[in-house]
Amino acid sequence: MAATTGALRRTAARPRLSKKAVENVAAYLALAFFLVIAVFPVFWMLMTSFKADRDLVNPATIPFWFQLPLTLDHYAYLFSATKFTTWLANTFTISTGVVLITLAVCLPAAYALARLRFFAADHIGIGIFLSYVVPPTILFLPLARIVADHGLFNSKWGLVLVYPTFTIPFCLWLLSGFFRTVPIEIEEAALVDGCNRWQAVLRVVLPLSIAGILTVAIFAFTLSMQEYVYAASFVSSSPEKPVTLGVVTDLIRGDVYFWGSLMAGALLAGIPVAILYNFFLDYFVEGITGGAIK
Amino acid sequence: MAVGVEERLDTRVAVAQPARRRLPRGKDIVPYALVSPALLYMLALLGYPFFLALYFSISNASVEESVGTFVGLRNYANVIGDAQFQNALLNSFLFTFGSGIVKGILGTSLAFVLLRRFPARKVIRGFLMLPWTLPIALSVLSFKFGMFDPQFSVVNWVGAHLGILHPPYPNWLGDPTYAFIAVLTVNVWRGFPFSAIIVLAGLTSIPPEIIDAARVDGANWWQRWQKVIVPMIAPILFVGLTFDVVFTFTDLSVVYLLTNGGPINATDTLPTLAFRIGVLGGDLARGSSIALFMLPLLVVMVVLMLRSLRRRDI
Amino acid sequence: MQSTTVTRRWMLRVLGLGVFGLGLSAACSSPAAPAPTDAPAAPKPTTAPPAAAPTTAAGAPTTAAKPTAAAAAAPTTAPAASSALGGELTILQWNHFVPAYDTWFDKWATDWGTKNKVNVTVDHIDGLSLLPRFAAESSAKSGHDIIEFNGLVQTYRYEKQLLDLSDLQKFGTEKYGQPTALAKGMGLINGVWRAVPSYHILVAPLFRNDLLQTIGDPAIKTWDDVRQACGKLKSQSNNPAGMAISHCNDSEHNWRAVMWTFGASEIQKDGKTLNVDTKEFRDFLEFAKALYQEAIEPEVFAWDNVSDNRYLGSGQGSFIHDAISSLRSIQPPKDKPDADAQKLYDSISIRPPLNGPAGTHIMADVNVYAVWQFAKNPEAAKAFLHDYLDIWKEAMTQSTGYNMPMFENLFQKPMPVLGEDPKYQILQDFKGDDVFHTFGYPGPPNAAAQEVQANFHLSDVIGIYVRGNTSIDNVIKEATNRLKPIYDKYNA
Repeated sequence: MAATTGALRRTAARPRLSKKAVENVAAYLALAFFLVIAVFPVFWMLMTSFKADRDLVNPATIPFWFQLPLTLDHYAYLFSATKFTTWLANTFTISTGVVLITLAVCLPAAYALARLRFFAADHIGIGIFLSYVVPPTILFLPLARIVADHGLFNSKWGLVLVYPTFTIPFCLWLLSGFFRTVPIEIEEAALVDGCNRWQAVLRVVLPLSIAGILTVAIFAFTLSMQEYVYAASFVSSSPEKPVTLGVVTDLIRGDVYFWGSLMAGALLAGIPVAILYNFFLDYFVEGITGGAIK
Repeated sequence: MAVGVEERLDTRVAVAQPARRRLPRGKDIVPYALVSPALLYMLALLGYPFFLALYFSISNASVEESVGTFVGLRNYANVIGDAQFQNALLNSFLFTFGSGIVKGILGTSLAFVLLRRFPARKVIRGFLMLPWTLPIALSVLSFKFGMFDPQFSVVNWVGAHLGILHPPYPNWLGDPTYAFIAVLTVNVWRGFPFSAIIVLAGLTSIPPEIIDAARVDGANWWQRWQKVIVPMIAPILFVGLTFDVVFTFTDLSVVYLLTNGGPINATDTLPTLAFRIGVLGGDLARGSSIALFMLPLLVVMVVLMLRSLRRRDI
Repeated sequence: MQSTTVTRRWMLRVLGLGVFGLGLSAACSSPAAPAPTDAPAAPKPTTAPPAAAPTTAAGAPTTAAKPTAAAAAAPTTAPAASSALGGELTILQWNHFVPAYDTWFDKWATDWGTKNKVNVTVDHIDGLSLLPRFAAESSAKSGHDIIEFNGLVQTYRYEKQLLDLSDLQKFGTEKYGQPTALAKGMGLINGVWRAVPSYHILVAPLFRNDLLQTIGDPAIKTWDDVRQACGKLKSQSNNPAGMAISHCNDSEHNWRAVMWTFGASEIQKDGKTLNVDTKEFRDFLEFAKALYQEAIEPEVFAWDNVSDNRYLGSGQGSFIHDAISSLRSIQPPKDKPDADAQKLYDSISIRPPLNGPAGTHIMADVNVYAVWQFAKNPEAAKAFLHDYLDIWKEAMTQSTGYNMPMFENLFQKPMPVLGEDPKYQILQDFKGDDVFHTFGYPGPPNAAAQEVQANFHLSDVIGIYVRGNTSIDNVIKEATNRLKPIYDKYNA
């Protein structure tokens, strides 16, 4: 990464100085532009979560600033009057469960796709895309039957059962990409040293792909956390709801929108994930690179 | 020119493509055994509902009577001739490719910017991820009431204070054209960080020597982009584009929460129409046929993209 | 080209695998009888279905009513609060527009549960999400015991999957008099009460008196009066009327009210024949266009159910057609007085139902309670509903007058809350079988009518016409094209 940046900078620095300066300014302007676009709505959400109620309904106030003093009431309400902590715990449980299932199912499959030569290996790739093509809008009804048959209706475990259907395809592709970035020579060397294939995998490939595995885990975690349609259809009891569903259904009562708390909930749910993402972004990028190379 | 810049660039790229290597082929069933958990999970949980939805679409199933009677392709025939469906189909394409193009442009620009080194790069990257990581239901709500609400719209307020908007302000969600733009905006806002990451992944995979050599060969910026960069990141771009197309085409949340297909069907897409007719209206048969209509369209799109990718490779 | 061949072959393989997978999973999950291993109700009767057994009342506290036994409607035993109740009771209902009601209801339900040794859970979701939720439960043959339909009542649609609640209705009649026509329309299907109509929600004309004063306080009796008054207010002081023309429930019921006052309707009395190609419907569309262009706020195309409340609360709207929850949300709470809000609240008055060339008509949104055939605890469900009916007046009070009666005698004055507050007294006169209707009028609120409303066809048709760039014949054609396939389906 640094080498590339350095290379690009070096090649850019060769011509006259003013060109580099212009490029720099352009780049910073572009960066500012992107930051404003990305962050501005979030900033509005942040202000809304702290604004006093009367400020929120007063069209005369500046929408993203405040007149009356800021308040922590909305956050307090979120934690005291709703089951926010339960929802967060549910989301955590659901997403962790989904991640475990996804990894359990994807690790062997990804290894096979990355390393082993067998018929249909190429075309399972297409299959992966196609499984996203079946839309949840209609799927959720037959899925409801499956979930109910297992007695998991109206339970977070029903979601744990169903969510892997949309995490497995992309994670499979991503994970096989990571396995491909492990140089094959290392594995061959291990085989030569006398390991059988499974030992080679356990001792050599997996440790080198930990970063990739973690990245896939984060991605699956995020996908599950975001999901709404299945959650809204399968879960109606407040204690079982994941956080997105809970915040939207319990903080909108009829025509009363608890705006401050809604936004507080959104931020508290989303910002930690953004931070996590940030940590693993470099690995994520690596995995995509590896995954796409055929 | 005997051997032109372009030909030289092509050769460089061909040489630089990484070779694919796999372990020697075995005769055993191990690969299939490894792949089978994933395959079976998907088939069981996706296959059965899918075939059930397929059955709905060729029957007269409704929410209370899901075991209907077989009616052949009548639903599909009715659906194709329906003006609402045609409108939703057009919208689906416009949204998907419209937002895809904008996301591509924004994402690519952002990726180039992110390649540079600047202070607090990691932190800024984190901020840039926020649209993607915030739960979609909540961020769409905040757009609905924060950005586009007739009375509290931030967009209108900013526009008015910058002098570019005057009353009457754009009826963001009530005018067909503006509502369309609003949906596109939310789609793009949510998705451009992810596009940037995909392109970034591609850009970082290009060995810098290739770029340097291309400059030496005398290629200008456009030639470098067209003949070197794009071919080398094509696989990644393709994958990113395919996922983006599939996700946007089948997405229900953004339109449903922002405009619910309004004003008067102006922003209806296939998923929202299928949901309204099938689940809210109760006509499972018709709703399924609309939803499943997306399948051949997407398959064709994916196969076409795959073909064009294969053709690029040497 | 090799890639094409392989792709085709691959497709065939996938299809083959898919069929195999389908067979596999179909064999594993039998939709007809739900897997008996995980029903939370522990004792499951393996003998003949409990349908005919009169011992259900005193029998095993939690009998899982199997869907296979659902064909024969379980005869209803006397639902007196039995001391042999137990187990779990789950209720699904909407987020009431008066939040205080939900607080009271949940507590009452819990207390009831404690008294009757039943573990009661009340789940709330927003009204819009109820429909997919019911679809999912019906598909899964598993879910809550008691469900509440709100507005888009689907008793006709789910008729065969709902328990017979005739005896509950009988108890209500004994206590409160005859059920209203509205109640009968929603609950009495093919001679059997499939639901207990619990309350209806009134939608009334709400006017800003102070604004009307500025134009000479004209009498407002008809929709045309609204057009004139609000037209003046719109051009003079930018205080238009606000009536949604969008994909939301408010839009659907407001415009139906207007439509019926013109003698128009989308369907005829038989509930089968389309009625859009008539002079009355054309007159109605012309009026709607005039009303919109002269007197209504153009942003209404983007409105949802909440928007008109907010519009009135912002001070800009001069008129909305909405339930009193909009007033309640403006009214400052007693412990947080607010002079501006109080002033606004005081300036709004509720007017009598508006009429038109064909008289006075208003649409009411009805809420009914029903019990699934596959409910796990039907005895407790019925006992609960029985006791809820018993304290109906208390419920109305707790809803601050939002819940309106479904039985004749409950209209006797003074009604809870409404009778005591001069602002709301007028609502006590909002009754009459010939005035209050629901979707599908003048026909029954059957599945076809429900489907028409759920798809927002009326709002769309009005929206297309009031925009001004389609001829009325084309709009009528559009309406016919939308409605005919739906009704054909049910008439076949």
